[in-house]
Amino acid sequence: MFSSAIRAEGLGKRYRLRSRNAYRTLRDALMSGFGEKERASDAERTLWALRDVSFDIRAGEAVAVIGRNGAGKTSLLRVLSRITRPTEGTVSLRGRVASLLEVGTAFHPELSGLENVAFAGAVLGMSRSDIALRMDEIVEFSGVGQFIDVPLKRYSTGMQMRLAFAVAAHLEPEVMLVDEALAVGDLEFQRRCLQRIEEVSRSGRTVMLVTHQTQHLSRICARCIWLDEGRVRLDAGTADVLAAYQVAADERASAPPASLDTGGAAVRFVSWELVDAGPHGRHTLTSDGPVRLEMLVDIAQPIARGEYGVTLYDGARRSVCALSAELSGMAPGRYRIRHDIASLPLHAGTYRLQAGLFDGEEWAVWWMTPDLHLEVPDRAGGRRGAERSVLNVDGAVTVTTIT
Amino acid sequence: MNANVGVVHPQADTLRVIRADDFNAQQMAVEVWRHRRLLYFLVWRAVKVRYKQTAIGAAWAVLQPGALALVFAIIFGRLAGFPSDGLPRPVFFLTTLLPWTYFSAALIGATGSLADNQHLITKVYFPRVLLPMAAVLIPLVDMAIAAVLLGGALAVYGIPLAATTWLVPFVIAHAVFVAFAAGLWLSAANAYFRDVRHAVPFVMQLLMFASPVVYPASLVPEAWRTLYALNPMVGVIEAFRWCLVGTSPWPPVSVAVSAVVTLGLLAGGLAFFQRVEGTLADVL
Repeated sequence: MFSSAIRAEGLGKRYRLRSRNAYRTLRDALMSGFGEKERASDAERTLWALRDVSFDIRAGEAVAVIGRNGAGKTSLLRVLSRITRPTEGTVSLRGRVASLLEVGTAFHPELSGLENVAFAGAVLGMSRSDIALRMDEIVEFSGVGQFIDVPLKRYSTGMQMRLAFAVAAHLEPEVMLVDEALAVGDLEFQRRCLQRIEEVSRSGRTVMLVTHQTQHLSRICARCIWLDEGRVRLDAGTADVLAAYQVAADERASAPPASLDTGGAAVRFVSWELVDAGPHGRHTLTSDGPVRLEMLVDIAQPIARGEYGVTLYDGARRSVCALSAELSGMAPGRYRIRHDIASLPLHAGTYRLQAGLFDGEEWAVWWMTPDLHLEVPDRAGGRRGAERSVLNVDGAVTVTTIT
Repeated sequence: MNANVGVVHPQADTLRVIRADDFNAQQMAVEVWRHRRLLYFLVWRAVKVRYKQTAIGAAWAVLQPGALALVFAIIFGRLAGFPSDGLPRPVFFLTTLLPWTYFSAALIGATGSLADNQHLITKVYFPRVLLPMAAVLIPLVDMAIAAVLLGGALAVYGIPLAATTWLVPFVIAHAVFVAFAAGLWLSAANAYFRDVRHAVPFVMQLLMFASPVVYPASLVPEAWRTLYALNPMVGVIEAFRWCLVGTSPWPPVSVAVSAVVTLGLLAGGLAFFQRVEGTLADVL
């Protein structure tokens, strides 16, 4: 046969949009499938949530699926996990397939924690011996403790979620499908989910992670499939796909730069460019190595004594670093502003540059770049606690004996 | 993954192919067999939950047919003077109400089974047919409890069990199949149109009068018997009493007609269900 864990051939899924008889779940399905494309509904309209989707995922691969809301990610997951059948095409799955974090839906409030675990296990296809073997572990992992014999309705939401996750975490599927939208909950919980996904992936199982968060993605998945309007737009290495995805996102958001122009037509920012942007595209920075940024500005009024400044903001709009230069005796004309940054020891993510020109007295002009994506190359040897630190510094620690 | 090495998954190497037009009875049977434990758990869960937080618990299963049998005995027996095939009236009505109460509960449960479990259907895969299947098995528990009442009534009136009592499980199995066959149609239809679940309890009330529940089938004119037997519960209820106490004549025609109708309903129901099963998550 073949060694693929998941193989999709010409997969298509069509939804019928009906204004009448549109029950809640259909609407839900469509909301999750077409969130941003709601139109006035006709009596009977069809919509292809997936079309001509083909890919081949080998056993043991970890693959991310990204795309905007409505790109077909959830539909793909539903088809692969056999919740609904495709309209056309074929999926071949090898091994036991499980979707992480879906177990809580099988819980019943009147049953005890223990009974719910048994039921949820049966829903997910765990065998009797599987559940018996892992029951103690699941109970311990959930941290529910002596409440395990109490009806679930007496649990707090957090306890229910922990119990649900404990069941999922002890499944041993050959293929694990994860919808990150389901990984709601506190940060600690999300962290554990991600950690769990990494573990599963490292243990040689096939993982498919559907997400619209691109952070940390390259750490988990080497390969990435980008879905756009129900079709595979790009299927390649995660870094490449993320970069292309970012560029497309920027192009889409090609709204005029957010400028707070208080100086009339005194200054106009013409263009900007990352010189030697590298393989990941014009909107991608890399954290080690020099970064060179050039900006062109047109100055309409002379500046006798002013200042130019540029600030890098992170995704949370915090100022990360700033550079500035004093200006004097500038005649009207076009200027090139060159920035040389030795390195950006920051974590991967989305950043923005804000540049401003001040004439010192009367006016100031602000300008902001679209999102910049910062790539962090993998460094040998994981650094414990690195993600939570402020800087992402490359360094080495050596321990030697002196006695 | 923790220290659980050496657990062999029987399905670890199975290849599954998902297609749009995957309607195949054999595959359905294989999937049901593979998920048989879930069927057990669905029934187990329903039974567990059923009488939670009730004061008298399973006594409800006795109370309902018991009280109805008494009321029927007074109204239809004493006041209206319906015949009861020579049986004491409470015993007669218990023998009709036991299968009927089961059937009514099973069909109403099966009709809502898909809609009631939409949170499962839209989130996890399993053969959907397990839901109506479990729904028609669940009321068997109540029936078994109510059987104690019938046994008690037989003892009180000193009526011996007929030699054919061992056939009763087959009659009950027949009733299960009738409910399942109709449940396949109704549960799937209810997934599309919730009107169905409102119609079914009402139709069941009407159907009760078209079944030999408050009167014996012998009351129906001979010429109409075959047509009457198109209601598959006619054969079931008559056969139930015949097997148990042997008073009414063996009803071969109504049982045979009922079996044919049931098989037809079942075959059509399975085909229909298979057609819609794959995309239930989209319509629920």
